Amino acid sequence: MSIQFNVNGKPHEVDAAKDTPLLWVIRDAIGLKGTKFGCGVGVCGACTVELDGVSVRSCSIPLEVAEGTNIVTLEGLGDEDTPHPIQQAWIDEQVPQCGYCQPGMMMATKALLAQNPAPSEKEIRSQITNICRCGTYGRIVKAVQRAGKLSSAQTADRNDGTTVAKGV
Amino acid sequence: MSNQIEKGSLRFGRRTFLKGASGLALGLVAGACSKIDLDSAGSNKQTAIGAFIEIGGDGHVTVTTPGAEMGQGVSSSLPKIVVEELGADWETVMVRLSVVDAAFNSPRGQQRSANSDAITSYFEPLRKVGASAREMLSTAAAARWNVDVSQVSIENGVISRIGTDDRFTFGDVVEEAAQLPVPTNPRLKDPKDFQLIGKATQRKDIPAKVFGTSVFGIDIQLPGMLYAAIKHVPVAGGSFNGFDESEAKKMPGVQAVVPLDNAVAVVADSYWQAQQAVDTISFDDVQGELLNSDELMEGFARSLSDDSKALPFFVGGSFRNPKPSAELADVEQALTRGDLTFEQQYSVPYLAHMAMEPLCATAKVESGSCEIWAPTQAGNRIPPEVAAATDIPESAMTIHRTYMGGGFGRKNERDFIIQAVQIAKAMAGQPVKLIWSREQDTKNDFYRPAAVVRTRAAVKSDGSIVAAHSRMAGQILSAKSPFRREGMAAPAILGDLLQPSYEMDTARIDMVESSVPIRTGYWRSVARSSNGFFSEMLINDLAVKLKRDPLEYRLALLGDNPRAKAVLELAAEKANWRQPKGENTGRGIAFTKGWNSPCAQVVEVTVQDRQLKIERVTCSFDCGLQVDPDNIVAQIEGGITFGLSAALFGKIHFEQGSVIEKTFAEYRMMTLANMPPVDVHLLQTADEIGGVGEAGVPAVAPALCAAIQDACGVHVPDLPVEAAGFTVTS
Repeated sequence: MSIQFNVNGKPHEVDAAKDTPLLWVIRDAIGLKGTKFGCGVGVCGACTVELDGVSVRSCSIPLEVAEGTNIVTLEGLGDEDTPHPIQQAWIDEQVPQCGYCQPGMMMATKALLAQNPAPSEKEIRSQITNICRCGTYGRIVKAVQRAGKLSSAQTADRNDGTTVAKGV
Repeated sequence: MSNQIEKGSLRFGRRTFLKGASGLALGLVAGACSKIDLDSAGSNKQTAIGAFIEIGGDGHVTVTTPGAEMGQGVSSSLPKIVVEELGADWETVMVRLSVVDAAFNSPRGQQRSANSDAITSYFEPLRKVGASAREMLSTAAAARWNVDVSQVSIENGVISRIGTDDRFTFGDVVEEAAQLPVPTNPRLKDPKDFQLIGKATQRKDIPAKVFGTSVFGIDIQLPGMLYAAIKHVPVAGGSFNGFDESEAKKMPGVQAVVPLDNAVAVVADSYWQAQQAVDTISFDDVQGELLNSDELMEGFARSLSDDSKALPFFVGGSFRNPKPSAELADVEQALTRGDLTFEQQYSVPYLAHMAMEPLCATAKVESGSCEIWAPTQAGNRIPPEVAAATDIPESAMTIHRTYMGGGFGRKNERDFIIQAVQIAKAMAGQPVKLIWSREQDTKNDFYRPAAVVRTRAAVKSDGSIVAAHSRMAGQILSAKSPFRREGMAAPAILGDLLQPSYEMDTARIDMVESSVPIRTGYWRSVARSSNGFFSEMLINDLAVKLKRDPLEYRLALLGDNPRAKAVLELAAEKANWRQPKGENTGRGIAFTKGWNSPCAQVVEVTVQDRQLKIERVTCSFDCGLQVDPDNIVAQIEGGITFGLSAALFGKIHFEQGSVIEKTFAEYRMMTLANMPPVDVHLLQTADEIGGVGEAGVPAVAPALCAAIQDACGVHVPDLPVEAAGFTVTS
């Protein structure tokens, strides 16, 4: 069946079985490979994306649920020229090792920071449930907090009408 | 073809070798800016440096890493060694992943990333590669300036005529440099002049991983590509005779059903269609041993008493001059000569690798040749095995090694690559990407073997060890060891079953092997993942029995071993070992030494009513020379996390021949919630270089169990800890 939705602000129309997991549609029909397949049962979080502002595990979302929604993937955050504060923090803290779980970690961070711009270590540890097999957890905690500060600084800068400093 | 997958700042691909007139291979340019990619790799083995270094006419330097990047950082650490000697500007250097090619073999004659030996095996060769290129550039610049080469210096990508303002970029002289003969004995830097080595620099692979542009094996996308999903025979080591494909063939998008040796694959237009279809396939006449974990372990334990089948192994010494185990009769005698005797049985379970990226590989077979894209730690082992399985000649293969979403030893196996080529061969002309489901990945691993160990020791009242005998029962690794000696146990399973750093008058380790049809393989830290636990549990148990402080006891047993003592002292100091503990709090310490890198860890826990909280892990680690301190810290943090997951939760269960665990839901691992802070302190007490990637893993399990016993008095000789009735809290 044909389903329409937006990904990173761009409209897409996909013709696939309605129970196809959103993950595979994002990866293979739309071609955005940043979202990863880890377990297929919503446990590891490597496939985390944002759907209408809510953090979801795209391996467990049937395509039909996506009809008319706005989806944001890692590629929607930023790029090398204009990194999102979360991406900048991930570089500053040298978080990734293999890097495979990190798109999901960064998307989970986006959801967390939207609710709580300055989370405590305890809040980060209890609210991000994604799995990293390389063991980058300590650096993730630091990067989430750094991203929170970078985001707040950018918001403050925007309110001042001043330019945003990159890579604080 | 390769352009499509060259994204981000790290690229990979096969290049065509462009030679200078002398047959060498530094870079060459066409026009002012457009860079001709010089290759590398390929047919020209004698000009090794061209495989590693490409210099464009704009002076831009690209270095190819001979290692496979699975997260351990070899896409930066190995090129860094080249660039240190080359004198290029590290900030602007690009890095490329390597294809499978003998040009990238280590001095051990192989290309593969395993055994924590990237830095130890490639350090000197890569220095020479960098230094050779540097000399060629210097010589070319000297000729231009008409001065002696001693008047030329190269630093940060700038060639200078000493004492003048004359400067060249690499691009200015690369064309002449490429015509020069490759120096056979280039002058290497004095290590005290290293500017990059020893300094923490940002990893080159991280930006692409953060922006979602790095290409993992699962991300390969080729025009007209089909997808394959797979189902293996459900019984370990089992076989089947026919299968029912009637449902699968009717399902949408399905192109073909391809039977393989121990599996069936379905090829479809999309992965999801392939997976849905393969799920409907049922095997006929499944044969195999209906193994049961509990019975298996009981059988191992029973076999411990079979002296006649026990094969000994070395108890220390060096590779060239190993120290043999004592004869059984001599050990028995020595065991009677202590003031105190000790006997304990320990065990560890089968473990899965569970890399985040499931096994996958893409292949295209066309007119007798094939191209492979795979997240693989392996290299030179791939072509002969693919050739044997498909009749495609080795010379007709191109093998791209992509980023790996974790490897941990599993991606050093070649099964999934061979399958992808077999499937692609059945779909000739069309590229096929094979993706294993998580469940298939979990259930069809090459597992870290389970083992039961019985250790006996005789100790004097002063604590000195008169005799120790440690016997393992279990199965060995599926891969045959080329180093195995007649009448002796397999090295990759028994090494360091007693920690050779400790003084013991009479020592013996041996093994009773069982033949079990479970596939076993290299798992991050291999035998030390088990033997670090067995050997350090013994020392802690003796310390407890002797009422000695486990740190002081180790220091006493270590004799003249300053490197070991230094890491233990530092870890203890940083962990406040000698400071008072809070209520319900326990501390445990352990020492391991693998890959020539001593490692000490202190685990602190609190335990109340079997509610276990890991408070912190403190580690001191000495790998000698540090190529990148921050990456070493990251690897040790990762090793500790990997070791903790296994120690607390890791266990693969066989029931009726099949693995019970399916995904991360059943095979649990550390999460942010229960992972404690890890504090790593690096130490350098030797100039030699040790391995890093696996070295953080072995010490954490024994330190954890010692801490639990210290906190609540419960002895945990069998892993995982959770099976002893503990609940891990956050």
